[in-house]
Amino acid sequence: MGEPVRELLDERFGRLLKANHAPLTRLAASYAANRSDRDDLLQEIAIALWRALPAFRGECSERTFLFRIAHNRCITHLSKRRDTVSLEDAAIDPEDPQGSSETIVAEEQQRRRFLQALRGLPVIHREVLVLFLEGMDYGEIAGVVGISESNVGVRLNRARQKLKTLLEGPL
Amino acid sequence: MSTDVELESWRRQWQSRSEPAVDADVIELLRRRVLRETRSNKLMLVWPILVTILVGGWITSRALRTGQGLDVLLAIEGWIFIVVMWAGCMWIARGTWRPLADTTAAFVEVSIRRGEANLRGATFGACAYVVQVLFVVLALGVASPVGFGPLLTSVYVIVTGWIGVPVGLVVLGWFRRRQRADLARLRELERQLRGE
Repeated sequence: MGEPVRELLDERFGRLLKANHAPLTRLAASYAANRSDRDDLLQEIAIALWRALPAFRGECSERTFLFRIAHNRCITHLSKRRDTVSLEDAAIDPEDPQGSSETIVAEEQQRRRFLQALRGLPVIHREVLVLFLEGMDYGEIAGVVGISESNVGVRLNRARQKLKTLLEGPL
Repeated sequence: MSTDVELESWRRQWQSRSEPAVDADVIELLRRRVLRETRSNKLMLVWPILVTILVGGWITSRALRTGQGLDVLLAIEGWIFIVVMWAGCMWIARGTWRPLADTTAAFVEVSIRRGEANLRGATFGACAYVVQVLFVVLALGVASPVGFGPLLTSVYVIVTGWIGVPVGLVVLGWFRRRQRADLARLRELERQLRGE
């Protein structure tokens, strides 16, 4: 590959990672056991993107392409991981609130609880729900996961019900 | 709460998660490290220049002042040592000053080169140190009227030889292990980037 092409890809790679850092971090967090596991997963996603970018021909949007790669990495990562998510892991997980206000603490606890519940979902439900939460429509989710749009709807509905049950129960 | 409202509420809650700054992007971290090292490498050049001026100046002025054969010998050897060190370090540092392009691959490559140069440089420095200590001890011992006995128990030899060499070897071993681990990680990253 020529140097100018590689530089263009490099620039595109950096831009994509930078623009999607927060969504990718959230996506990785929903498949990781703890913060260090999430960071490992983010690195794997970055490397997978670097390798896949030259093959991108614009058949779908950059965002769909990026999330397809990230999603695949997450599923592979999950299948490699032997341990399960423990409450201890989740508790030390991330993002200690930067402030002492009770509201911030309560919101953070709520977010942690939500993340724990999400991690408790079966993968087929978690994957569609996480992508939906990231703002994707049914078509985009179908493109990323590789299922039909109607199937997305069915899975999303089941994911919603299960998540609700988990959130209402003791975590 | 209807399905849509509930999902939308979850979506807002999910997207409001504040994630910490980039600490996971290995490539971005690597880029920052390489740029930091490039800056510090240039700044650190001040030290060998300073040592050259101070040590070179001191041994030269002493040789000129006393005019004794031993001092002249030590001054000549000292300058040879300085020149060899500079030449060796410049040779080892080839290709490590900055990345050849502003690409991730170039940053990984220069990082690997720097790791390799650190390994070679540490060994080279250790060997040069031992040779220098041996030469000075030998020269002082031969020139001394009382021979090597008192010299080997002098503060200079105790500090630079009996203590300095073993401690230096331990530090060298630790440094090499650390560098090798770092290099292994970088080579794995390079292999992954190449898609092997």
